[in-house]
Amino acid sequence: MARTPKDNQTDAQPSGSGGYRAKLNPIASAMTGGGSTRSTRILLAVLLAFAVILPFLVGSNRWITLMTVVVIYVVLASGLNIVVGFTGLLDLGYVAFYAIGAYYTAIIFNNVLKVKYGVDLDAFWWLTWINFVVGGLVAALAGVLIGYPTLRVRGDYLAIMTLGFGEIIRILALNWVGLTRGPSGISGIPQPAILGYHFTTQKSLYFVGLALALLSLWAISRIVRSRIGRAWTAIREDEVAAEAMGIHTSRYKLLSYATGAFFAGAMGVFFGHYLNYISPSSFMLMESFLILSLVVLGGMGNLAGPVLGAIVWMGLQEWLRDVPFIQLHPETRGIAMGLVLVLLMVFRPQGLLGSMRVKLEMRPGSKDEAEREREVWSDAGS
Amino acid sequence: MSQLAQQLVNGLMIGCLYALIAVGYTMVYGIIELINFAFGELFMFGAFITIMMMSPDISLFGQTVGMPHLNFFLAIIIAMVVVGIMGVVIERLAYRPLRNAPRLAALISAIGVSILLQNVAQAIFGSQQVPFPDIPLFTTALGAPKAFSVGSVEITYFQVFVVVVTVTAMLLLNLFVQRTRMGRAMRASAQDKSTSALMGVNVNKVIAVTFLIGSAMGALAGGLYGGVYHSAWPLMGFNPGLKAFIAAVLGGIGNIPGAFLGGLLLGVIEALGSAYLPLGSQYRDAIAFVILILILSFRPSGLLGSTVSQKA
Amino acid sequence: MINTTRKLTLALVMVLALGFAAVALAACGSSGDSSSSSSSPAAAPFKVGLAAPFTGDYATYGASHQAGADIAMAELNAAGGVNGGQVSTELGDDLGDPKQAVLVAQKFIDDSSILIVDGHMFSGATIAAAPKYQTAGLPMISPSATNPDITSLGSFIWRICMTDAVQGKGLADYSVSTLGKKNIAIMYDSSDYGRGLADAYASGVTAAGGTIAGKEQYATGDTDFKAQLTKLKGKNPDLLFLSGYYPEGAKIAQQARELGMTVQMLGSDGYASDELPKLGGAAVEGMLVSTFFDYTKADPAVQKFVEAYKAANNGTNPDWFAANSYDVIMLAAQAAKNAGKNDRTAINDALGSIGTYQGISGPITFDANGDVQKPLSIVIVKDGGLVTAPQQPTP
Repeated sequence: MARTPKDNQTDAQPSGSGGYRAKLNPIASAMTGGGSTRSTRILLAVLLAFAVILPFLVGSNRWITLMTVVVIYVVLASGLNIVVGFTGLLDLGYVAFYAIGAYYTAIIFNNVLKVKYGVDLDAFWWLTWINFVVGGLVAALAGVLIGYPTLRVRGDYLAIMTLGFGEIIRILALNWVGLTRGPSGISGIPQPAILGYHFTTQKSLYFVGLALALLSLWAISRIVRSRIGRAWTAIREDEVAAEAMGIHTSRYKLLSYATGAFFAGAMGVFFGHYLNYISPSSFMLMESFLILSLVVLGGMGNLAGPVLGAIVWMGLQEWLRDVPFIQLHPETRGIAMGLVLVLLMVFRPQGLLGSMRVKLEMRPGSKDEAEREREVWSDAGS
Repeated sequence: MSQLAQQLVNGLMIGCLYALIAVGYTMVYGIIELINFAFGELFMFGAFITIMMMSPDISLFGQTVGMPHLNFFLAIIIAMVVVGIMGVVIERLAYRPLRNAPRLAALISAIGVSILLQNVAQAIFGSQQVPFPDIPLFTTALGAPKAFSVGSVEITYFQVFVVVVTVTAMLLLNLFVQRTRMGRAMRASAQDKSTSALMGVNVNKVIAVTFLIGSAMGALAGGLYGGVYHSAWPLMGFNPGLKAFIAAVLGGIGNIPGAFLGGLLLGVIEALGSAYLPLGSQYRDAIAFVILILILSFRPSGLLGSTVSQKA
Repeated sequence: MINTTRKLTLALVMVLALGFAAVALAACGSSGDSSSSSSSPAAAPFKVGLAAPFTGDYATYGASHQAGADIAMAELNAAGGVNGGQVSTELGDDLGDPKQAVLVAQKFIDDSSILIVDGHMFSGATIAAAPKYQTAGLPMISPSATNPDITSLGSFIWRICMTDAVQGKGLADYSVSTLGKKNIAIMYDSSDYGRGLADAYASGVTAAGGTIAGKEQYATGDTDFKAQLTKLKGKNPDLLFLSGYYPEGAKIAQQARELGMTVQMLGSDGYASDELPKLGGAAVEGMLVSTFFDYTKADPAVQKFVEAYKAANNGTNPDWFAANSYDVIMLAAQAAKNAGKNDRTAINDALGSIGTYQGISGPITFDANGDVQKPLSIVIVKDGGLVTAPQQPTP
């Protein structure tokens, strides 16, 4: 990939998303999938500053709530990006992992502690924090279990299988009333607390979420830029060749599912403690499609893509709510959102921050030679 | 025993509807390898347009507008034509520009179209369920469905009609695909687009025709579905669309007889599963997915799908 | 070309981020006050937040909810408003989903001109949103959420509908003792409403001496019920109790008839709407339905509401969602008048001491929890409408 010197103002060198050890901050270089330039670092600093300062500037809780929701979806989209964007596996059932994390913490706190043992939930404040990791791990385990049968399957068959698993989890949550209280949902999940300080305000909860998100994004960027990430990209680009090069594709695929699931599970735990209530209706199939849209919208295989996708989509959705015409005709909001999605795809199919180079191996058959050529040599935007 | 027979009849009924939609899905997928998520919405519009044509008047955008008050058969044919054209337009605007783009872009575009159409329908028809007018041929003077019994199994005339229509549609479609020039062009394009283009096939036209026919099938399914369940509503397409997609995959996606088989199989399994498995009716949707996963685990390309080699 | 594209995308990102920030900052200045800005402090506007599903699968209920509220609003404004302030409503679309309900709650809480919330309609949404209202001190009166746990969520949380436990028992006694049915089948919706009511009904039936022929479940949004109905048909019930909502109910009735079942059907309050005969046609003729509101009742206040509703809604009769929504607003207005000012806490306190309020849906007396006792009525589907049934439950 040619780069003119003037674009490269630092000693970092350009790299593909597959990995090259940058001398600079790994997040910055990984974020844009390309070289780490000063403008990128400034951008990230600005975004981070906004993320931290905005809640103090904004008076109304409604926008802080929105920012918290954005933060959750940022991580979800980033997690799915690992599976879909970096490894090239079309997962249409991602929301199941989110649900597993949420239900895990809800069941532990509600069913086990409160109902069965009758303990005061306040005393277990530390469990919330541990649950972020444990919930993530439980979801990761589910990822492996769900991923295993899909190993033999390709492309769109894979997609429908993952969709099936996602729906099965939701239907289980909906009908296993003894465990999940079915459609009534589980309420009374305590808010996060540290040694007596309760995170009750929207602002404080937002910062918990933001901290989790930053941690997650950092972790994701490290993993993606490691050998594992390179293996994933290899699998995405050409699975047969990767296998031939000695990469155990099955193992790495399972790892990909597990990693993606982990972050979804962790955010699920946060979601439960944030809302203090969960129910199956938060984990519908449409959510999986939505998260996928965020990834594609922002640009796949690129760490900043999902972040931007989440911000743009959620922001647009909430902003539209206030438009007077839409207030009177609520269904026009859906029309606008659908239209935006189609237009964005038609006019920028690689996503807002995506590069044309990223391709997805999805169909079992062969590809057009011309198409292949175009992809190998195309340089648009990277 | 009679319970079993009745459940089988029930299952066959739904199976036919799934089969019709599945065929629409699979035709489109076979040619451009796109999971057309907006297909359920075309199905939904088929139902609404059928109702529109059959009623003396209907509420559009909140205003009552006079309508032709045609009979069912004419109405459904009009619906098929209109929705067929809709399908072609959607392909032209939302999918064709993305034909050489990353696959996921087209998928997300399809999701966008789906959201768009659902809300457009809600804007036009309102969010409430709209009742499907009684079809005089299949309804008694008292408003009850005309039915006959075989033993203690009740079968309505309309159910028979649905089965007949489905089978006829399948046969006609098969004839078309196997025996006509356009059909041959479709099969060729499904196999290899660029080579077909080199052979003189107008691939764009073929794709448009595929969408036309596939969407028309969806509309047919929608009109019949509306007749079976006596109503239509803007979100009615999501679940059947999903089930149809499962059916198409079950049968081997891209394979038309496979979609038909998959649809019937799915309908019957759902009916029997919800009747005889403990907690079956609650987990009915899950049963469909479990069957799918099991079958794909042993036959990764579906029942009638060909195992395609990974690399050329 | 690479560099320009890269720069353009970065620029795009920065613009978006700044734009988002700008919007947020703009929003911080005006915390949602779009209502009247009258100069005199005494004429504080009486703004009600309507929390319901206005789009999505359950939009029908939201439409009724709003229509009823609009009648109340028109009536109050025609009489000069509440404490001098004009009545207005603000819509919060929760889509029946708890997550959306929380966002709606936040929006209402932040809008200081909203004094009371008429909603939410569904139990799940209410349970999610109620704690926020409680912490913020914004009174919320639900017209239709029936889950027993709701009112225990706080002193600012009220409801004017019966809980599932009470309705179930009442209907069970009606079925066995009044109607004389002995072998009863149940089809219930898997939501907390359908399931809770079915459970209460079933235990009530056994307590009254009847037997349950079978209990079959379905999910809200399902369209095919033949599997469950075929199973129940084999048990030869003499009554079929349907616990759920009318979109599914209409189909259940039609499919039951298609299967040759002629059994008498009894629907829960979710069925009490003119939409039922409209969707169900001949199949629902003769179905008994429990309701909290009978629009044929010869009570002047009820008929005044019905007339106003029909005039504003193309001749459609109001269902109990509309009636209860109307009652919530009128009740809140009365509380505000009693308190003498349009203020959240004052209204909430006044609600607590309001005694018995005569609503069009019946007398409303709050117990210690914020629940009410309401009489149950039964209507029957006749000639495409709902009329008072010949047999009523013994009070």
